[in-house]
Amino acid sequence: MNEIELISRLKSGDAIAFRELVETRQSLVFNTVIGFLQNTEDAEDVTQDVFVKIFESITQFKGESALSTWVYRVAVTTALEFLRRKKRKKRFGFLSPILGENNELTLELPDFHHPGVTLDNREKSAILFKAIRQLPENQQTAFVLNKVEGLSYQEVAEVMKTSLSAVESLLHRAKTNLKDLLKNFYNLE
Amino acid sequence: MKHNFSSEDIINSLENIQRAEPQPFLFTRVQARLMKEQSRPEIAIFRFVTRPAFAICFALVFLFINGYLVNSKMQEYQTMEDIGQPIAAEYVQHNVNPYEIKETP
Repeated sequence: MNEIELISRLKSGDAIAFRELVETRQSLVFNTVIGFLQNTEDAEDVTQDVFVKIFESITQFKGESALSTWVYRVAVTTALEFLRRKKRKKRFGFLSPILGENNELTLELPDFHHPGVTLDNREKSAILFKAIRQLPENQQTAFVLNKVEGLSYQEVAEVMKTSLSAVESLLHRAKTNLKDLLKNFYNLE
Repeated sequence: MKHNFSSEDIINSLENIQRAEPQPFLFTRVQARLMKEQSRPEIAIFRFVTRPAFAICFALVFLFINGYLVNSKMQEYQTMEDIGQPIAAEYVQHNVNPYEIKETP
């Protein structure tokens, strides 16, 4: 099934086309989402949300970009919305007891080990992911799409609906900020 | 916390990263979630209410009702004015001040 046929069948609510979309794009969505959320269970949940959103809003897809670019956009938006919701909950955390709903400590996120990182980079990437959490949203998006998902600058620009030079600038600032964060928090050179 | 890595090493630690894969049977779980959402009427109502088309229609109806009410009030006011003017004119004509001292020649 080519992309045009897939889109038209998706718009008519075809279950087989939707299955194909999920099966061919599931790792793309999951890997993007996990780069933001840094938690496997949350990423599984949000990945499902992304596909539900895609199913419900495919009629709004005008075909101005590639289907994958649009899928990336939905994945990034949903992941960022989830993080904002989580931050809001944390901000009003003083209203609830220190123990979470399931009686788990909710104060500090544990180290995140991305399943795709090589063994010798495990420790270093855990430090990096912790620092990525501190970046502003647009720098975080550019960095995750480029470094975790492996998109080119041009592809990142298309997903973020911005120019190539803006992406270059975002990635440059992200790296500078990461270096500062690593220096300040981990006393690194 | 002190580490032996340089910040450059850490930033480059995502090189050659492989894609993370979700648990198997994702499609079945997505399908189950879709069915669950479609079976909840409050979600369907919420989704309908939050549609841009609904919001625009609602705003148009609101503006139309407002316009109609303002227009009808203006007409009512105009009618009152039309009836009131001759009465007022008549009242002015027959308005006699009881305290007015009429000088008799």
